[in-house]
Amino acid sequence: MIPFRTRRRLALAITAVAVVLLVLGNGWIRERLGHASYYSGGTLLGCLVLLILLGLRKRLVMLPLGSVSTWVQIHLYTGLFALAAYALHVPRILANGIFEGGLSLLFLGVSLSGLYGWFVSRSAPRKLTAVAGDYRLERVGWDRQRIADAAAKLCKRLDASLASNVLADYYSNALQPYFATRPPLAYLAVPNGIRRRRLLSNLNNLDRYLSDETRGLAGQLAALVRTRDELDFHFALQLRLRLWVVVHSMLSVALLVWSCAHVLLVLNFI
Amino acid sequence: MTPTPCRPRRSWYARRRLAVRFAAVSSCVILVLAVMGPWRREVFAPGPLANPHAQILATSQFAASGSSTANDRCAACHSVARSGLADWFSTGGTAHEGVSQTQLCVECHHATISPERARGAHNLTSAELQQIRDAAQFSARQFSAGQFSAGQFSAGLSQVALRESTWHDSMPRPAFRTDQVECAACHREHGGKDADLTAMTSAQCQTCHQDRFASFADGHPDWHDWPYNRETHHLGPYDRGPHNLGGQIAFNHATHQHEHFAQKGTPFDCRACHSVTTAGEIARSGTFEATCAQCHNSSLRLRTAEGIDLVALPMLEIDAVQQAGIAAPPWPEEANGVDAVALAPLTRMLLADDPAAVAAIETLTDSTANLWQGPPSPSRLRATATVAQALHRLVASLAGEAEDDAPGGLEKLGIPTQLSPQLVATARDRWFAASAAEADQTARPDDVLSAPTDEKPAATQPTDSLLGDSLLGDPLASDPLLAGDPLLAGDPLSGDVGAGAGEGVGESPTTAGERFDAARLLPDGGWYRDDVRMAIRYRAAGHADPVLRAVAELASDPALAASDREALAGLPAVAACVECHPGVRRGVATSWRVGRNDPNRRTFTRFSHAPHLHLPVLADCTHCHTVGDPREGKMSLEAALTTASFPSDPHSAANWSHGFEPLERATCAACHTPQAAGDNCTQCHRYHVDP
Repeated sequence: MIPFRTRRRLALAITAVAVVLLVLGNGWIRERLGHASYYSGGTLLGCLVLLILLGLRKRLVMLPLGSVSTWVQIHLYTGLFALAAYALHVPRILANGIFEGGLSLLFLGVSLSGLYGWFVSRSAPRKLTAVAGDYRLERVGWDRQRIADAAAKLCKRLDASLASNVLADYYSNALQPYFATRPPLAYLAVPNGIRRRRLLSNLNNLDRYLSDETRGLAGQLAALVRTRDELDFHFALQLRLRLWVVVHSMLSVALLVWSCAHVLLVLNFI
Repeated sequence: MTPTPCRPRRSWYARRRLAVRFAAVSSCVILVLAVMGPWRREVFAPGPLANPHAQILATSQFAASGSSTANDRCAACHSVARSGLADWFSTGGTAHEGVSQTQLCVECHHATISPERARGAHNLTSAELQQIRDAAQFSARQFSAGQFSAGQFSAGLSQVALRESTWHDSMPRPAFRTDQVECAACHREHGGKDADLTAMTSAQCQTCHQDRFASFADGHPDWHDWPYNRETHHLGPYDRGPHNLGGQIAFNHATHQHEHFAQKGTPFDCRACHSVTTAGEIARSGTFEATCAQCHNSSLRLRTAEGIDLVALPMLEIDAVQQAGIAAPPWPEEANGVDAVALAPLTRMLLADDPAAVAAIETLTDSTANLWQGPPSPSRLRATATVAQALHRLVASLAGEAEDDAPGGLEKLGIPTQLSPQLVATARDRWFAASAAEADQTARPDDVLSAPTDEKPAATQPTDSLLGDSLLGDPLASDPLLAGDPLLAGDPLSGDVGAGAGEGVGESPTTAGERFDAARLLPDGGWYRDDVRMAIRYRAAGHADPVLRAVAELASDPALAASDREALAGLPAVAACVECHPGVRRGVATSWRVGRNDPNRRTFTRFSHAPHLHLPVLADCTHCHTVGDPREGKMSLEAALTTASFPSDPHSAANWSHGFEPLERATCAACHTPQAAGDNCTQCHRYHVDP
């Protein structure tokens, strides 16, 4: 088993060599007044097909086509290589023309989403492991409801004392909306502990108005706030892990369609 | 308790698959809409065109003309755009069958690029390219064998062929055959309005070349005589052909600066002749009147005053012809003697259409070598009679009394003539009618036996004004500039018709006192009759005389026989023209002028003084152009080669002299580096050249 770092270095080195060869070949054709764009474009199309094959491999689990892990590695570094091929192929980062510009946007979108996916698939699991809890994205709603129900159940235990009223008011005004609603988009975009800290701080401030009994309830509510925050954090990161794949796939399939049209145009307008 | 109804929800994977399908369908729909809509070509255009093309395609005149360009901008350059969408997936139909993109390019660019040559490298044919290669190899062989001449050495191509191979020669060869160069090989469109369609790297330029090098400063072939003898470069027909319209003056800068001007004490100021034009360019020369006349006008007038003979009656043995019973026309007694058929070149050419006359002249020319071996043969006598008759007809023709088979006049030679038929008619009457009358007399004067020859009688006509003419005055003789001037190498006085004739006139009682004094009476030139020489002559007016110009151009006509051209060029008056105008070509008026070559003609190399003159150091002409010094051996071998002397053969372009030291490549390379003034091939060289 090749260590991860060694494997990464080896793959990067191979990719770099391939890029150098591509650049040399492109320059060689350009210097001899050939159409280097056919060379770089053909390479790019080949890369695109190779990148698409990862999806097929995932669907053809019954065939002995190598491990998905290997295919993912090939996918990653082929994607990097395709970026270099794209840079050689287009006269500028965003090509001229409506169709060609759209094609450029699609490629850049696919590339950026892929790079983001590469990054998030490396960083998110570590963060998720660091946060307590083990949640599945499909059951986040159920977990969220379970926490809200637990909080509501705690509040029903409050009596009519003044201390209980203070805690009940705070629950109905701040905690209940927090437990009942999905995390805001801002939180999904940038998960943070602001809401949790604010709620816990306010809850802590109520402590002087609480009796011993209600203080124990407040502590349980605080635990639920932490649990809900951990759930939201899991939700945000898992959503990222899922969402980039969707975006990447959508852009990829659109890129494939438009690339085919581009090839047809090029071959006809030679 | 009522069970909660089952409400199946799509899994994340299912929703993702749905989204992907949506993306695929959406992209297809957008494509279809783009293809089917009227905005199809706008959508699929791979980018804006460069400004020149964009302006042409957008201009309203195309729309007004209703051409396909207006209706379909893409089809102006892409024949496939004329076909339908369905053709994309089939054979393409017939819309673009046999139509290449280059052909479409040439449809608009045919004015500057010949359609037949459009795909040839440099727009030249393979044979023409081979000529250039052969010229280079020839120069290389000559150079390596030490047998180079100035012109060959100057070509610079020898350095190309002689250069050792370098690793640059192993760089990639072109992706196409050199006779199938498409426009798009170099010109790539859709790069935007500011894109430079002519941008090429030096490596790209060199890819078709056999010998390559690193840069202008490192490896570029040297040149030695460029730009001074650029008209004479041995590059095959491309710099010497009929398109090379600019003339050149055989002007030796070295001798003028270090000898003539030095002796006169006049500063040799480059700008006196080479002024800066309004366009910022350097004029190749000033006018004759402004730059040369001060020193050379007198001598030139003297030499051209020699003029040319149109018709001069030769010595013929008419008496012997008549005694042999052969019919002969009347012939002047002064021209009656031993055959000496030295016809004037123009006379020969005017008789060239008469085969009998030509044959007779050849017979006489051949037999006159055996004159003293016995009496003339009957064949020679018949030839004598034929020549006399031909000259009769010629004179009659020039007198406006042409018969059907009479020879044509000067017009057929392309010489503008203002010759009065009356002048010729008078000459004819005077020469032949008098002869006819004298033929009836039994006694003839003894003192007219040897009149019409070029031999100068001893007596001098005291009244001949030519000797006292200002043309022969002291200013000319004492002019130090003219002491070594080749124009005076052959003493013009010795050949001056006026002087020569004046000497003979006194002995001829029949012509004494009637001799036309051309020097005095025709100071500005013109046609006249010389009764001493029995000739119709032309006295030239000096510089730019139209008749002399025409004769000099005629002497350069390659359609003429070499003997005729040599005879014409050997006329002293014509030689005086050609000595300074060695590049004269017939039918090319500008070959007399030292103007720039045809500005519309594209040559391999281009140069403009204008941007260079902005630098003060370069405003001094001698920074680049060093005049050699022939004194004390201060001249390099190469400069000496081109400064040796005025050419013995004025038509030999290789012998032209300019007197400059070679303009070394290093002089240019000092500034033309990638970091400074640039050293790209296209900065000085054109790809598209005119054949």
